[in-house]
Amino acid sequence: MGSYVIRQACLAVGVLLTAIIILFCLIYLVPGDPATVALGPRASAEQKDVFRQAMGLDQPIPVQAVRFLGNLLKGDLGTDLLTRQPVLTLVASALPRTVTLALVGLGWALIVGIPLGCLSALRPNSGIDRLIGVFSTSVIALPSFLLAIYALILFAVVLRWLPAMGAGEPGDIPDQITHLILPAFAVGLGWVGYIARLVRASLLETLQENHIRTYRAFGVSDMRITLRFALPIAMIPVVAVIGVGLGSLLSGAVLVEVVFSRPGLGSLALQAVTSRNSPVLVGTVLVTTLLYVVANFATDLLAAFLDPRIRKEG
Amino acid sequence: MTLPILTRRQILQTLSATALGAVGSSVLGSTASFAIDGKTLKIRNDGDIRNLDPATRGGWYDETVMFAIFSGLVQFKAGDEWGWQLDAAESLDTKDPLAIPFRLKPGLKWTGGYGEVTSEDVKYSYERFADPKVNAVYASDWAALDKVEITDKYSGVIRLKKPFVPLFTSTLPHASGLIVCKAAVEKNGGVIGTDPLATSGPYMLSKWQPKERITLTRNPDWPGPKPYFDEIQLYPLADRVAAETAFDAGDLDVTQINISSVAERKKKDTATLTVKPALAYTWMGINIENPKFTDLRVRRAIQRAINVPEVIEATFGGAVQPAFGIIPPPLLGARDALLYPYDPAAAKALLKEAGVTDLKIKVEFGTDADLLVAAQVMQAQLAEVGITLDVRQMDGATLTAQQQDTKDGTWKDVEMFFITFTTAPDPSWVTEWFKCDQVGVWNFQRTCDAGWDAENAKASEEPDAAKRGAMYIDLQNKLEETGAYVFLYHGVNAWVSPKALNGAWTPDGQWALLRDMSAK
Repeated sequence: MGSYVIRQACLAVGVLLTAIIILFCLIYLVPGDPATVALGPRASAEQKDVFRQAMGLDQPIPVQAVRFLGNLLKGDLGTDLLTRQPVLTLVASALPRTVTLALVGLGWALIVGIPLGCLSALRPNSGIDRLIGVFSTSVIALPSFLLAIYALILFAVVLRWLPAMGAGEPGDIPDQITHLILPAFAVGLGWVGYIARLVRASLLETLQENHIRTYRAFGVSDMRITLRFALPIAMIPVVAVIGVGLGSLLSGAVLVEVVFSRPGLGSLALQAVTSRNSPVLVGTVLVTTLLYVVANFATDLLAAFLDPRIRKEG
Repeated sequence: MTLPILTRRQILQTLSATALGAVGSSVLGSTASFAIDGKTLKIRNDGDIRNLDPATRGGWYDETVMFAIFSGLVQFKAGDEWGWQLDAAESLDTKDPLAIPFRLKPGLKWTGGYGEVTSEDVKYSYERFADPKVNAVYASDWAALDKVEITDKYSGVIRLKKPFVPLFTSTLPHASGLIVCKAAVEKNGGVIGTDPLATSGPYMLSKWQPKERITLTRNPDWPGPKPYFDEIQLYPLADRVAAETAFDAGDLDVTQINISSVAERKKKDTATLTVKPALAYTWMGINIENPKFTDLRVRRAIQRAINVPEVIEATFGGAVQPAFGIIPPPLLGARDALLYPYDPAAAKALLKEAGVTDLKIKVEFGTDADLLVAAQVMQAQLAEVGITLDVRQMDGATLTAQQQDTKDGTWKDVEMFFITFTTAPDPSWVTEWFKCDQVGVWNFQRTCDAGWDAENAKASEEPDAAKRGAMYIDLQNKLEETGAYVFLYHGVNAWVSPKALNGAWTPDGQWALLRDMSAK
């Protein structure tokens, strides 16, 4: 298990380095002058030069990338070109918001999706199975931002039950929960469908295996077989998908954060792109990539823990 | 010890009640804080604060906050007419265009225990615009300044090297005229960023949550009339549609809205709608150095083929009036007619005379939904005279980068573009961007005439309003003569607010004057 962890950790570092290199290449390729955006139309060419020099933007991109990596080792993600705030501060403030949104979105999707999947698998080809199938496919097909917009109009504007923007007062938990309901609903609904379909398929396969038939021969109830013996095995592919899913949830959260004017990594990255604020963009993407890598790493470990065959193969 | 046994039903009931309670309390809470009776005003800001230094500030997202927390000698008047009124100054003499004596109100204090605002602070604030270490982006606002002479603790004289008419229109009442605390700024190495260090206005910046909220609270040491609101929360929301939704949901009290929402808002009549003529100008520029447009007859044909009133009506449905130049109508020197209005027959004749057939051109612009409609209408109009227009929307920063690209020369590929500038309330700031030294910087039409530049310089010094106005009209005539400009509109700034609010804005509606807002 130890060597497995070391291998995965090395892979994670490789992914992060690749992401940084790709990002710096993109920044170099995309036109747009951060000095013009930061200083506005009245800045002279000399003033822009002073700004570029002060922010290290006059250096070639490879030099900027190496300098970034050097600073990264010291825990410095750079400085926001517009506000001169440390990027780490901005990211640290946005990160919990996005992670909470993604986890709550995924959490409620799991809570609803797993029982739906089990119900479908227990009654295959029944009316309820078909109903759940239609529901799951429908919600998978719905884009989360579209759902966010309609949920916003219905629950915030028409009914005025829930707030339309922001993340709530810091320290006020009920307020933060209220601000989380609609975005988390929008982010997670599609995943309800995915998880339900995945659990159903995986469970149906597991229920056909020999050891399950043995349990049945011993007279163990269907419910106990499903929940106690078949579901943990059926969950292994689900766990793997969740790892990848968390990454797509983080990127899906971008649009939802924009719709709900909710501070987070997504809105931070979007603003950074439009204002050519490369340090903030690199910092944000780096942290998002790190989250993605950590989520994958954690799910790999969990899958290895659940299934000894993976440990041996790995 | 025995534990209470809960049935499944009891667990569900408890969870439901908890969830509803949390939601309910929060909803009620948000309703209470929404009400202006609570003396908390929630207002949209165009963006987050970037830099609160008057010399190096960002844009109006900074200035809206700065006008509330800093004092200037004078300030803009709220209402429909551009003008100024005394702020930190008790008196200000405007008789001599080269020497402006002022006297500060005694007792105006800095926050943070920096004592009283003195003439030393005024001198420091204005003279630092010329300090190379400050790298003042707004240095041109004080380019005419010779020095500020200190008479005593509260009095001084602003001495100019030459007459500078915009001093009382776009320098002193604007953010370049705000006074900073010499002691606090020097203590911080001469740098002001998102922390204003020390302020002397009716509100003070009490909390800044980056990208989330800017909170202003009353300055307890403010000696003037107490501002109405206990607290003002500014929410940095770039997207006006999202802000309007938040207004409808009761999460915001005041917000700017898109022009396209104005007609619908008028019908609803559920809130106060404030629509003011913007100090902005949108036009279609033609790159005269692109091979397709080197012939003036081709450029003129495009000018004559476009029916601007029809474009504007189709785009904004009467909410916006067509433009006749670059200077917006409330300002001196605004024109009231075009030299080359819509005339498709003349356009066809010009193309024939130039020997141009089957002309294919493109117009590029940022991601603005209104401009897309305008472009589509123009596409149809140009088609009528035999010109094929390709409409290309793109990221605004990318287009600007291409227009300013002197290194690789990709500016040559730019053909036509839509562009909008906003301006300070003086015509000199409108014409500034069309000079020879702006070619490839912000003058993307690349029109250049030394005579035009000289006349423009003279106009900024002309004290006689009538003569000055005539000079600016002539400057715009000459721009139109180049054939590189199709003037489109000046736009409006529209805001919605509760009926119980006395709103206060500059006459163009660009800046919400927070210190003057109150409940009815």
